[in-house]
Amino acid sequence: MTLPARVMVAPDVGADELASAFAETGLTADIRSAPTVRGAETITWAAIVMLPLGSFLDVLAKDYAKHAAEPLKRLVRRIVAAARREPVAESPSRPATAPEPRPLVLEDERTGLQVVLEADLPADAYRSLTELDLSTFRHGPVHYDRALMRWRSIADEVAGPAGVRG
Amino acid sequence: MDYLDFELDIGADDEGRYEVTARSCAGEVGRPVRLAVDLDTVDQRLRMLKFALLSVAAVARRTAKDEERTVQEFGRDLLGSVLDRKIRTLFEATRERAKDVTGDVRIVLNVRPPELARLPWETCWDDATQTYLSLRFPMVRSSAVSAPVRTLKVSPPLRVLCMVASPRGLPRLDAEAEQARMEDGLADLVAADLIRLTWLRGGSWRELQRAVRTGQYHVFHFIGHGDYDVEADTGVLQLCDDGGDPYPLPGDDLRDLLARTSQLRLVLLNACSSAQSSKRDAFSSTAATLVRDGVPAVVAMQFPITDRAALEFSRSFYAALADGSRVDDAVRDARNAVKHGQEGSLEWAVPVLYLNSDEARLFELAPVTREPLQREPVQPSRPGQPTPVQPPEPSRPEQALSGQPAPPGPPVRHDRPPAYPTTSTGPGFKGQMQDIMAAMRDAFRAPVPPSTRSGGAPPPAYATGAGRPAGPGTTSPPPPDRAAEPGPTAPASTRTGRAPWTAPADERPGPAATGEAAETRSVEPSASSAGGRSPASEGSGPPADALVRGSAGDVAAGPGPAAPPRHDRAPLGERTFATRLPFPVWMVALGFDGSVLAGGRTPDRVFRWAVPSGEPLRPVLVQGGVSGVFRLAVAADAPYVAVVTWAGPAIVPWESPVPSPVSRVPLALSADGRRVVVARSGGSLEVQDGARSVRAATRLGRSVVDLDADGDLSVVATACDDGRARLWHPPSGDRLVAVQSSWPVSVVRVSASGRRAVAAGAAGVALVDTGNGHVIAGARLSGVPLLAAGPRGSAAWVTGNWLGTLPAHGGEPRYDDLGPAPVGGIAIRANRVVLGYLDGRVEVREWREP
Repeated sequence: MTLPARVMVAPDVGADELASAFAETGLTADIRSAPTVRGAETITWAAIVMLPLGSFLDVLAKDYAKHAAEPLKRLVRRIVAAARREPVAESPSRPATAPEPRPLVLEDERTGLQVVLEADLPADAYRSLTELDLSTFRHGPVHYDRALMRWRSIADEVAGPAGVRG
Repeated sequence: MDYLDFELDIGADDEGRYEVTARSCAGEVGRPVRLAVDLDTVDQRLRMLKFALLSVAAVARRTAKDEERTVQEFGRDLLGSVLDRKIRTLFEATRERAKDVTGDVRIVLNVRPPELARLPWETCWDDATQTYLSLRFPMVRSSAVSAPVRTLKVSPPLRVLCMVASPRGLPRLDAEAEQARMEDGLADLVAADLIRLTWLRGGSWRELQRAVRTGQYHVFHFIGHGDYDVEADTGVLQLCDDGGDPYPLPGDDLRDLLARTSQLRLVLLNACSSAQSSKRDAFSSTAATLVRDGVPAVVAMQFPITDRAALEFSRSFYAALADGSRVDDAVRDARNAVKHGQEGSLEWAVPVLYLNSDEARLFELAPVTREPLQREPVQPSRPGQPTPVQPPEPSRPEQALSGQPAPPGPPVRHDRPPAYPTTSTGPGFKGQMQDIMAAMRDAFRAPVPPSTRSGGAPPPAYATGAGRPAGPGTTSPPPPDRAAEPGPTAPASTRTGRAPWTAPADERPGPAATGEAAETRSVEPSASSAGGRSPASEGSGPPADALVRGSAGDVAAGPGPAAPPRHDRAPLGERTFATRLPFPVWMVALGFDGSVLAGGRTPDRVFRWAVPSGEPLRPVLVQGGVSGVFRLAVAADAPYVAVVTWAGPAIVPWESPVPSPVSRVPLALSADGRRVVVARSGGSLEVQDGARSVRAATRLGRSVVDLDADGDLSVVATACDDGRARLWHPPSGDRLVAVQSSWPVSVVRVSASGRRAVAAGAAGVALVDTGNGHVIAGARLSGVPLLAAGPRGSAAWVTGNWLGTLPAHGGEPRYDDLGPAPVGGIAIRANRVVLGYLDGRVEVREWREP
């Protein structure tokens, strides 16, 4: 069984030949390349994947024992690598610095909750992703804190528990 | 083409239930909103909508059924929330009327709850006609703002400031193409010096600051990136910092940078999310911040927009403006261009037009020759009465008045006078502004005259709401000396052919029943009070003018004296009260108890003092945190005030908080505080009581820009958008002939007795006999004045810092120099004159005939 997904990739990420990579993760992806827009949002991600996120994580959990989420890891590495930008020296006096790699973002098509998949996440991140209870997050985005070794949403932590006013 | 407005006013009651009221010339229908959009999940729908808009843009020439379905469903749900059978019937009836009159309908949305205002109403889809409304009809968003809204129309050349911001790290935009297309489309107008384009390409706030400091512009066009800062809850434009990196500029900061451009009429933010707002604050978007500051027209993008669509939009928008289109028509044309220019594109739904002006034309491109106003014939009076003498028909108003050829000036259309005083764009404007600023500095250094309260310290500069009632120092104004007012002339019969009316004996005001209507109008702050007014605001002397005697047909030639001799001074006597507020005063009034009211740029109150003691009294509190000026009518004989809210007129005891008013709707309150007369959209007038029951109504078929009435609401004078003043008698429903003024009228006042009216526009002021609509006397002006009905049927007006008066029987105008600071508000009742100045002073002076 495959799940439908609508994918928009950053302009500098080639949309070609990604369909099979998505199919390996169990997604039938309608992939489009984001046009140039007059906003700053597109620079923060390599690709956004709109899908039924809960169902996708269920499938991921079900198949984890079989392949430990390797297809998803490969997809993330491939897209993030394609979106990696060359270091650019901003001025003669400032050395060239490598810009932060842009992540792949999973976005739930019903709630809009976003889960950010950065490059080279440890294996434990993907394992705990399969156990993630999405209902505990209201705001997102949810990202993996490598120091704390858990998925967290800083916006939810700042907002506090639902129903409690600061 | 002009349009009839079909207004959809969406609000919420005290319990949070949404209501929609549809209004047009065909009627009014209200009903609860049955929201078909779940607000708990609307964010997700909005994300999907944005995704759909960009998805289609990402793939050229592809049928986008799924994406279009997303847009249609959203639009269907929005329209279905507000449209029912009755509102649809009203809409169709409005369209039918439009076919006979103007051609078609314009949809005006006023969505007040912020959680609804942020929704994309431009996607409204009508299943019945298979139409997206914003593609078929001009659609504008209107909002209640407190700041004075500038008139949209300007005189050429139209000065456009274009800013390109391309900070490092953000996708590079095809700004060169946009510049090229704008310049190509406007080439003819630029060559004719009707439009001037100035380009800023550095993208920094410093460059913008310098540009507005060294020049005045009517249009600001931004090409760049925009965003919505969710954490800060504000829209931002991405400018460049000193190093070329992104510098997010919040909307408030953009507003402050543009504050020097007092002539700004249109802003086009061709950047993503520049019209996006939050569910908590409808004014959190960059666009709404500018609207709230008084910019009449703002076009911005409520979602991300592709570079291609933005390019197409701006190209088509300016091409339509260059062809003479109205701003709302130009936006509609540009939407359709986005749809057809990129096949299948759905980004036509992204632009939003905020329009807070009664006009929709930005400027007239073709020079217009002056033509005399068409005058309606005066009907013969009753048998036995002398036939009224018509004033001579001037072939050119200036020649008739001055006897000399008129000086050349910018082309002016007389049929659509501004609703508010306009800033001068003439060569003397900068000088006037500098003189005003110097005068204000001098005024603040000058000592404030002490109040006449005996003993003790001068009163504080503003009241602190002690709530004490008027003390023994308060005096009531003396009753008007009715015997001194000229008697009524024989009224002309009405156009309906009914016998001319006189007020029935039982309705005529008693000798002490009413004082002068103390309501004053609000004006723009110092920039406009100087510009467009008489040269006297430069301190060089009273306005050059000449006199028209309508009944005798005589014309006095030549300008007035530069410095009037003592016997020509206005009858202003001793100052009996003075105080100062820490902000410019834009409105003043006299209460029923003789107290003085004054307000200006204050958030929530109108201050009061007892006169002559100067004791601060409880202020009139205004709900809603209104900042700036609004129309507050004060009853002459009772402790009531009235404002027009979005729910309609409200008459409240002035001890109660006044509900949040709408600033643009004129109204007048009866002396007893029981009835109010208001202008409604579609050109109707209504007299309503405190319960909002309509007691009398009439249709003018014109938009009303100003109105006033006598104490009984027996005579109502209106200034309409065609530049004509008209008189209405609500008790009988009769409407007299239009006032025969030789110039467009935009402000009117009526004396307490109803026997005299004062009508003025930018070109002149006239004292009118309300019996027959004849001009008794007049004076030439250059700039819309502050107006008041003076004692005993006289006329009083203020231009700059000069007070001019005309006696009730006609005669020479008189002038008085009121001091260095321009006047922001004037009110007259009996023999008391209240003046509020832009340097914050408030004073009461006695009116004393020389």
